[in-house]
Amino acid sequence: MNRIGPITWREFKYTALTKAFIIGSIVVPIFIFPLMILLPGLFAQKSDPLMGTLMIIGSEPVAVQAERLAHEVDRAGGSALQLQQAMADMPDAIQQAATDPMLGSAMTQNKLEYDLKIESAGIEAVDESKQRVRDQDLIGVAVMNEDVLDSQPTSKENRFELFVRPGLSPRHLDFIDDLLTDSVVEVRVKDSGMDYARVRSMMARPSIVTKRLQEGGGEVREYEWAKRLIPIAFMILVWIATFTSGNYLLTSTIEEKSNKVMEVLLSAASPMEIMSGKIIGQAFVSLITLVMYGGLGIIALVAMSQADLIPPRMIIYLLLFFIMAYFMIASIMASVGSAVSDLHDAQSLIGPAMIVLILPMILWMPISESPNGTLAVVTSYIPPLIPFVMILRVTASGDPVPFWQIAIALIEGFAAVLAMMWMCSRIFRVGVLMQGKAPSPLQLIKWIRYR
Amino acid sequence: MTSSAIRLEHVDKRFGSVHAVRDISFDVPQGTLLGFLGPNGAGKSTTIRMIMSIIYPDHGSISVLGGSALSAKNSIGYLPEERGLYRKMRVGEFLRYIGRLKGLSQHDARAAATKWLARMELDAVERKRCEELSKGMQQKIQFIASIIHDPDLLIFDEPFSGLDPVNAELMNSIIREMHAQGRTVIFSTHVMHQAEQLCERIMLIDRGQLILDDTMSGIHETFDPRTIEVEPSNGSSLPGDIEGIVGRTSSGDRGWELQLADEADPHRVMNQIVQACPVRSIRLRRPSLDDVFVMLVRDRVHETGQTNMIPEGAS
Repeated sequence: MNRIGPITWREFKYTALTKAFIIGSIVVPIFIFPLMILLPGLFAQKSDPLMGTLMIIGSEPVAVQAERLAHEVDRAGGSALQLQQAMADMPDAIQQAATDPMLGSAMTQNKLEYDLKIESAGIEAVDESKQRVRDQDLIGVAVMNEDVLDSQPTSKENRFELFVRPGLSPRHLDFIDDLLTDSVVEVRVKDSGMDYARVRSMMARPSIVTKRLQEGGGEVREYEWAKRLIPIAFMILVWIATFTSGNYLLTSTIEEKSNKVMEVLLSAASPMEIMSGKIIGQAFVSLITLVMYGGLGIIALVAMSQADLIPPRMIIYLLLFFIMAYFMIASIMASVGSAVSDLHDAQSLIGPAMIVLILPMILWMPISESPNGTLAVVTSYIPPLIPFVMILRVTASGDPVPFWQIAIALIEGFAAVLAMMWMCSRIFRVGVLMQGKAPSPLQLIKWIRYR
Repeated sequence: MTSSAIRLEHVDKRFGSVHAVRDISFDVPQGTLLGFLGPNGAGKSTTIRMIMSIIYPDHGSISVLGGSALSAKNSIGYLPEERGLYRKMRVGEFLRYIGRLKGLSQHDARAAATKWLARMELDAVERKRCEELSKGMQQKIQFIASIIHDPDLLIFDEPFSGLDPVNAELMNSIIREMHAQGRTVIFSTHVMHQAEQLCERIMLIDRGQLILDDTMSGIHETFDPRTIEVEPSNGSSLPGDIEGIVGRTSSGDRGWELQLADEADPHRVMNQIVQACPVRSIRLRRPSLDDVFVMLVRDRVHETGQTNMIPEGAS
């Protein structure tokens, strides 16, 4: 046991107390987190202005309406308005950040500048107008049938064609689409003798401010998106923490083997002691990653007054399933590292295991939407998937997972950890002394049985 | 009665279809300086790794320093044939790390590292990274790592390879010194003259079997000298036909090497030569360890028609 200590410390020191780790795993997240909050504003970019003439063929009233809409109403801030609406669903802290001068100016930059003229013509001008579009004289030409203005158009009638010039940006196209369809609707409403402005205000769907009643009294704003994101955030957290350290473990074992330092270590400690020391050393590294990223997430939730979305039992589950996942992945990585001589061979051995382990990532949605569904229950009893699927289930916002299922998953999972560590230590014991060609998975199984 | 440093009883080890070690038994008393010899792939490293409890025998038992091999790890110093250091680690830190693994306290490991670096004339490199050192220096560092914990049993695999004569002599003197202090030293090599100079007892292993286990003097007695070295005086020449001689090889200016027939009496043959022609010198040459090694291994190849290789990586 006294040999495990120095091995653990060396493994930890040469992974965590290095510039690369400190910058990559500690400094970067600290800077990335505030950036993510400001991300919507930073992504908003000023678009090229929309300049030119749009031809509307076959419907003079729509052309008139479009001309009016284009000039009467400021339609240019469509996506800026969407952003503001999205912001309204965000917590106060993010809304506060959005009032920042820099972000605010980013939002106004998002407004589309345009100078759009509308022309109209009869159906005989279609070919000529199309040629003008090709010649870049027109932005586009909309060809309409009067049927489109019917108050009750059939689905066949409720359409028209729009021909646009090549290279028109999606944002410009969206703007023109909205302008034309709004104009058609407004003409229909007016033709029916109704007041369009009144109809539109009546049709506006009310927004709901959902509030969650807290157990200890009080109420907080409920953010559906946050509840949806928590399961995948927890699973990714466990993934990042375990696979980052697992990868370090893999490369350090390969390095010790290819440097021939392994035999020196073996003269001082048993293979089990070496493997244990290395795995425990990397466990601390993994824990730092978990605390770093998890801690930032919790700080963010506290800032949004959403800390109660993560009750203490969830943190306990996170730790338990993290430990389970880490020791499973670490023992696989250490044994594969011991069996091969370079990273390329390691990747071909780990490949199949990775395909299995990536399943929970693919199945995130169905599992977190229905944490007690058949898929979720079945996959949470398959040993390598247990920690990842269970963390999705226990953090999902649906019906709580029955405790007996959690207990079975914990017992089965930790039994699997012990079995995997035993098998992997057998492989490690033989693998560290092997040189040359990488073994096949079948040979690895044979090594388990070697005396 | 001297107690055993190492005792192997009917030790057998296979790697799949390769029979690496075949029913080996031997006893090495404490304080012995033993040469463990054999051709490449003979099973030396496998045997040493079993002694080190890095791998375990399929059959038989191994006792090291009176107990199990595993419990004796802190009393064994091992220099593997393939040198290995952490490239990025600093020399002093590496030595302290190995010292700690070998059961030394932090303080003792630091003191021992400093002492041995000074002794090996390497005190200036304590703060350097291992990758910055020359190959010879790296080997000396690894040698220190094998003895830093003051072990009772030392096992060196090819300790002098890659060293210049000055450093080889320095290491040689340390090994002799440690042996003089009563430690058991086993060193494995295929450079026979080194073993001959250093060891008092020799074991020869071939294709997993122990084919020789004797003291140097015992080997000299057992293996009759079968070569006469003769240097005729100026102008004289050896008679063409000498009774009891089955072959001759010219040694250039130094005369001839004559191979004795199996049944020939060396002293009679030498008398015969002296009487037949004037000689400047004549002597019966002792069989070197090289001769013994080649003789034994060659005879076994002739007997079995097999070469003796364990596949790379099997051991």
